[in-house]
Amino acid sequence: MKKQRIGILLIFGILALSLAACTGAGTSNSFSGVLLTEQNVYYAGGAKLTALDGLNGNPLWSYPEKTTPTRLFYAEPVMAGEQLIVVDYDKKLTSLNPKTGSELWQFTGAKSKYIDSPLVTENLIIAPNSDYSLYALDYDGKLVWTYEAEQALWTRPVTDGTTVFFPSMDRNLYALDLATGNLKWKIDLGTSTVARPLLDMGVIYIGNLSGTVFAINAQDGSEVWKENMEGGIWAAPLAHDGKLYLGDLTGRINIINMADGNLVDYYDTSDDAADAKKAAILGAGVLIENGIVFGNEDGMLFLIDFEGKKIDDESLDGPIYSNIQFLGDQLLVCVTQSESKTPLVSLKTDFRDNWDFSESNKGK
Amino acid sequence: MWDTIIIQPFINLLLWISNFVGNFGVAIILFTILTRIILYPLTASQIKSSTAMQALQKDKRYIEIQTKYKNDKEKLAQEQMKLYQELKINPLSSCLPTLIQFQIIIGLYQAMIQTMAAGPIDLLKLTRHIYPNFLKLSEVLPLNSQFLWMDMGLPERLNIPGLNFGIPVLAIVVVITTYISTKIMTPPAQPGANDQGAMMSKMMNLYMPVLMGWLAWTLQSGLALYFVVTNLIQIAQYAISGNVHWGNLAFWKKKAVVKK
Repeated sequence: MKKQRIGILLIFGILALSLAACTGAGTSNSFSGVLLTEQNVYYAGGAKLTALDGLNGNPLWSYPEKTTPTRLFYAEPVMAGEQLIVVDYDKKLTSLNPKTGSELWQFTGAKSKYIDSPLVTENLIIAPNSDYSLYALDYDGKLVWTYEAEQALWTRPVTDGTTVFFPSMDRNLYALDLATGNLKWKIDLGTSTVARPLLDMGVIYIGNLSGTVFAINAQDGSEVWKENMEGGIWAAPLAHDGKLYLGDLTGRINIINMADGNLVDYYDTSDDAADAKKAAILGAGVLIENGIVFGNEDGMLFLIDFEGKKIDDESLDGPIYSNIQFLGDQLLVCVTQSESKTPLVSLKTDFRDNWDFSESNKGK
Repeated sequence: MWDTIIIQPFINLLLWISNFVGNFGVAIILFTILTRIILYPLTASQIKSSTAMQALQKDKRYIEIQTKYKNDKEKLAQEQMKLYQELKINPLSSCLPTLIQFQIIIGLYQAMIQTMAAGPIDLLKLTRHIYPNFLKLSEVLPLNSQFLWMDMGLPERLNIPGLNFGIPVLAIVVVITTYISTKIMTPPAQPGANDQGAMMSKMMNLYMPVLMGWLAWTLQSGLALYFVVTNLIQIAQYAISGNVHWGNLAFWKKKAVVKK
């Protein structure tokens, strides 16, 4: 009788476990973020944030001391003066000492997870949250103002010094007064938007998930032009010499004329894919001296010149979803090998290996 | 394969209903009713099969076999099988709907997670799972996931002012409805029926609500809503077929019998 009871309990246990496994409970649903500074690298790689030596990738410290399955760090950390600001999936915005990783203060007023990192201005930390709110804090972590949109905010805002601009899942692009958080204007972008905006010479450039790229007058929110791309847009465009460079979900790097939105040319990174599958570009690329570097879902890194011709490429171990970082002669790329392991690769601008870091090798 | 056959159609159907009614919670209720209607032939055969099994428990020959071969399990199984064949009963036919339902629960949960797109990876998968000729991303996003006081993408808790913890109302309702549905479907133990079967039923009646309640407490409230609606429809289906044992719920009567 006792044996049977244990047997039934075991069956229920296995049922519960298999349901949890089949449903994917406990797996992450984002990709890592990284910040590259003059000395250090701050890597938000899931359950913890790790500070590394920028020269060799050796770990310096990690935060928090005790990891939990719900407190996950994916957004790129940002610097606010002498503080390192990190946000997590457990509704917390934390200020850390960048040298030691010790906590300075914590803001716990948000009701949901932070997907993207905050915008840092001269005196404010402006954090978008999935609870539909934008929180403006001072450098001591005190709430200065809050603005509530109609849906989740997944995107780091931009500012021109007087106005803060950010898109929302509710399809709108908002412009708020930076000092007070009062709404100045908003414009319907047609589809939910997760891409960061680019502000250049008084015009905001932003693409939505349906692949429409907009140029919007930052002063009054009027539409300057809009143009449809082949695939949805996930990241901010890069601006160089009157042209925009932005990747899309079909794997194209589109080159657009900033003045009128005309598609000048494109480079299709999926052409190099082993199969016919489209290798999406999610992360923002970076401008380097002789061109633009983008990574795609196939784990391919491309350097193209400003006319859209490929100069070089490099194959990495897994999909590249995150924004690439660049400083000096170093490129930092997060490689998503699986949903649980995301190594970090440092390369020179000619794609020579510099160092790499993952939880298993601890830097080499 | 699993994605193409199960997840993708579920996602598109859920999104289509959600787009039509303007609320994801209502979409889950309608989707559940729809799946129960589609699965009705299987449920009907399950009810028929369990009715036949209940009738068998009262059959003289069955009781005789149980008594006669209670110390020879191999022979008991052989004789039982003979009787099943003679009466054209398939004891396994009541398991098939349960197995299919389990697949639907897993498929629905995965579809719901991806439809709610709570993180970038889920959103990326969602953009790929939408049939472009059937739905437009601009029309289905953003999803209205608020239903009553709940967010369908998060575990449910009802926060009452003055209390510093949330009450898992939906999980409690799941436990109660699962308990009722398993209890009223279980035939009362027959005199002479084997103790093992009765014990199995008793443990199922106890553990099933706990398991479902635990899932409802920890996973997204959308899935808990699916459990509640499924239980209610199941109770209704059994009641319509006239195959419920309401007397099983009167636990106080049983206690009185035990005292005697």
